[in-house]
Amino acid sequence: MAQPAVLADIEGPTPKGGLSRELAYFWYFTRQDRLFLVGLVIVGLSIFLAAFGPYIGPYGPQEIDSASGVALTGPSGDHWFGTDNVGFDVFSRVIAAPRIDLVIALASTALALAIGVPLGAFAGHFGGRPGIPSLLSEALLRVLDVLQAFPIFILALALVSATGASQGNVIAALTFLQAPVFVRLTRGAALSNESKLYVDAARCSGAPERAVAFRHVLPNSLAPALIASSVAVGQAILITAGLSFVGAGVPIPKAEWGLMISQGANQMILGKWWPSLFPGLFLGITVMGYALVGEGLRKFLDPTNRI
Amino acid sequence: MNGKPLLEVQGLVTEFATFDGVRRPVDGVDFVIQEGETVGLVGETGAGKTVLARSLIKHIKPPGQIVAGTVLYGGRDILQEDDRGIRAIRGKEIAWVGSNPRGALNPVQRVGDQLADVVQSHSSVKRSDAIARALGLMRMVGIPDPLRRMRAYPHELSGGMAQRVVIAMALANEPRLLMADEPTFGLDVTIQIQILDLIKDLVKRTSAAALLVTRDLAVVAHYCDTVFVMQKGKIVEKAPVREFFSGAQHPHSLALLKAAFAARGEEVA
Amino acid sequence: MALLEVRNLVKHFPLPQSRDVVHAVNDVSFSIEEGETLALVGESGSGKTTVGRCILRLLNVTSGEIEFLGRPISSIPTAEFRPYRAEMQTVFQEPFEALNPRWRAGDTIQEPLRYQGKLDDKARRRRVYELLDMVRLSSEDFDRFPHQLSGGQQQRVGIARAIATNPKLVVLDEPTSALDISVRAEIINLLADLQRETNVAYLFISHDLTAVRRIASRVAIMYLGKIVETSTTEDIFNKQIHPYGKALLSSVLYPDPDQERSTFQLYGEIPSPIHLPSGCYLAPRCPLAQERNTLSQPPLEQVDPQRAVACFRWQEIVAAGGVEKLIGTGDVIEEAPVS
Repeated sequence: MAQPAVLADIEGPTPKGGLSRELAYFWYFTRQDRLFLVGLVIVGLSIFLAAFGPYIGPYGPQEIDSASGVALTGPSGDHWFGTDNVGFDVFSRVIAAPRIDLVIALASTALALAIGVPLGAFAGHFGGRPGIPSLLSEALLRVLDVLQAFPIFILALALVSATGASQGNVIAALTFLQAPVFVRLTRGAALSNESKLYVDAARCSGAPERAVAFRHVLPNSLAPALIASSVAVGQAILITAGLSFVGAGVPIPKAEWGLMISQGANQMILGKWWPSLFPGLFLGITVMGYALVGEGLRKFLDPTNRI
Repeated sequence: MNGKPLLEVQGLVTEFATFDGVRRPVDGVDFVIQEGETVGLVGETGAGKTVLARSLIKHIKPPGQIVAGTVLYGGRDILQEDDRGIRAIRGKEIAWVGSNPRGALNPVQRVGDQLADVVQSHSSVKRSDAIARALGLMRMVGIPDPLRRMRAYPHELSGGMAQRVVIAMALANEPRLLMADEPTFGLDVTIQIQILDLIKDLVKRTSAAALLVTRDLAVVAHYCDTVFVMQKGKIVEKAPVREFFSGAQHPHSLALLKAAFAARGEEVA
Repeated sequence: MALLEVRNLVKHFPLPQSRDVVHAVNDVSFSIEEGETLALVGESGSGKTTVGRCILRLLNVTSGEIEFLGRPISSIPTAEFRPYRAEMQTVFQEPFEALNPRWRAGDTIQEPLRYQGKLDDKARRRRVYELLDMVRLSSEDFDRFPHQLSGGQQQRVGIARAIATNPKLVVLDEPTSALDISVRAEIINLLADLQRETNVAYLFISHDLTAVRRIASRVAIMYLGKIVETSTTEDIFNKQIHPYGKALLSSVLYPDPDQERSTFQLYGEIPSPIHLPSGCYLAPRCPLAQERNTLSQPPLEQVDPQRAVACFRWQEIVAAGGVEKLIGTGDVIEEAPVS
């Protein structure tokens, strides 16, 4: 039997399938796994802020409160998170930042998936067989080795400083960084699916190689990359912030977490902690949220957890 | 068999909370295992055999839970023991052999060391003595060239050899009850016979009792004194082996027998 | 003309990063007639599954020839072999693993029909419902995913897929080993019924000897990639001449406490197919082996019109009236290392 003995023992009658059952299970799973729920809430909030953040703050992200008009005031009823060295309201900027950070992260991850998954499937399908496609897939892997051997941050820094600091360039750099991960994950899944019995069965049914690759191997090889993409979004946010922090990302004076932390860092030693701390907190929580969702998705999709 | 009860189980219920509601793989089970008796617990996949066997040594993890019943062993209720009490019983008094010997062995430790560890875990002997005892155990379970095999890692052993090592571990502290859950699953027929013969022989030699969990009535016919038939969480028939094969009563027992004979290529009335 | 003819089949797997070779199949010949069932039995490491995979062209042969429908199929390019797929199908051991987890049962069953390209969409669906009925599944199962089916139902889907194109030969690779005993009997009965209805021939690869007895007309026993004994099923189960055949059949347990168990046993376990014993492959484990048996390999010799045996001492065994009568007449040969 493919499943562990205990699982077999507590199996019930064969359930009917369908989307409603999947959704019911999702809800059941979410209630069981509190961390996943926390992650979902954080991810949901971040997406909400990316859509509406710039409009719902008490001030505009780049608006100086003419009433108080003072830079570096501490948290108060007027300015919940205080004001920064320019006099911008920190709270308004913190909740506006996902508009930049999240869009960069989502765009780069989506691009990386679009490039990485097909390449990975190609490498997995042809790997380990004689012929030119196999050599190509080997060559691809060696290139990835070189790419991944570079410290990820230095590489992004070099890329952005070579092409200039702009939102588009940060997306390009991140795509370049993330794609190899998806190539590897998809390749691994495809390789293991290639040796599955149902692939043999398809060949025995007379399926041509094209059908084996696109109808059997590829659809079953997507899950690892999709699960990893949640964590990747968190990573991308972190790197975006990092690049901005060192001045190679989003240009001043846009509302972006890394930039805000960097701008505020100078005031830290003067005891003015709020311009840096709040964006840092939001950054950390968001990255964690995406990581939690990724971990939860992995468990959710793992059939052996499904009893 | 000397008619003295070794393990008395009463009203045992184990539940699992699942997405589809609460399931009871063990639903009110009573039985007694006598000293020196070999009991065959048979049933189809999903009957609850494995959960029952695990419940006996309180080896049920969430979302599973033992919700009722007593398991009396030597006057104590195993289910009331704390973790420490359970550890003292498992391996020492009641030993377990599963169906996946390689999974039961530590892949990065030599089998001789693992055996010696087991010896030391329940008695305070010197390492050198434990290793000497481990060698004796390897010999006892019929592993050829035991001195060399002591230094082998689990992946270097065949499935049959690995299962012999697991049996040696189970018997290292001379338990009073050996529980074997499909111990020959995945092994070849000729190896299956060797392993079952080995278990039977060792159980007899140490006059221990055994609970053999299996789906195969043929195994029960040849290696057990008593049969417990399990269906949907309940034990539906208990009988001495010969009586069972000549005159089983419960409809499910008859269905199992019929299937077993049909598999052999014979019809039964 | 035989439906399938396998001649001197050899399959070796070179091990990566080493000069060692796994000798999975070492010179195997047999044939299957239309509508009959040949059982290939043996333990793991006997090479029986590899033989099946070579026939199905899931593996390329190292040497030897396989003829199907009178034409050689082992040496032609894969693309040229594809048309033969409709005539030669397979059922695998692990029913769940053999089904694409994302495909509904109905789609899986009609896959071979799709590639055959003879039927349009509508006719294919009709055929699938017919097949579901033939393997005793309900038409509602058309839309079920593999994980919504029990093990027995999954295997029925696998069988329906295999017979969808009305093949002449189905390779059954341990189709019952992963199933519960009661389900096993149902599947075997189903296979026997289908054979009666469609006159399909089976190559039944199994170590489940009770199932073999029920379904096979002839049996070939394999050990370390060679056929050591072959005859009709009746003959094989009544009497075994080869010591390995004897040991294998003696290890079958029946659900009968009064079954007489033979005392005949081999030493140790099957050696690694990487370093094969010299001479007779069984010699290191055989209580009958003598010095000369380690020097050369016994040929597969015809004992009577049905039975062939590969053992140097078969005449002695026949004369003595059974393998167990000759226990103790072998030289004690040092036991081969097991791992």
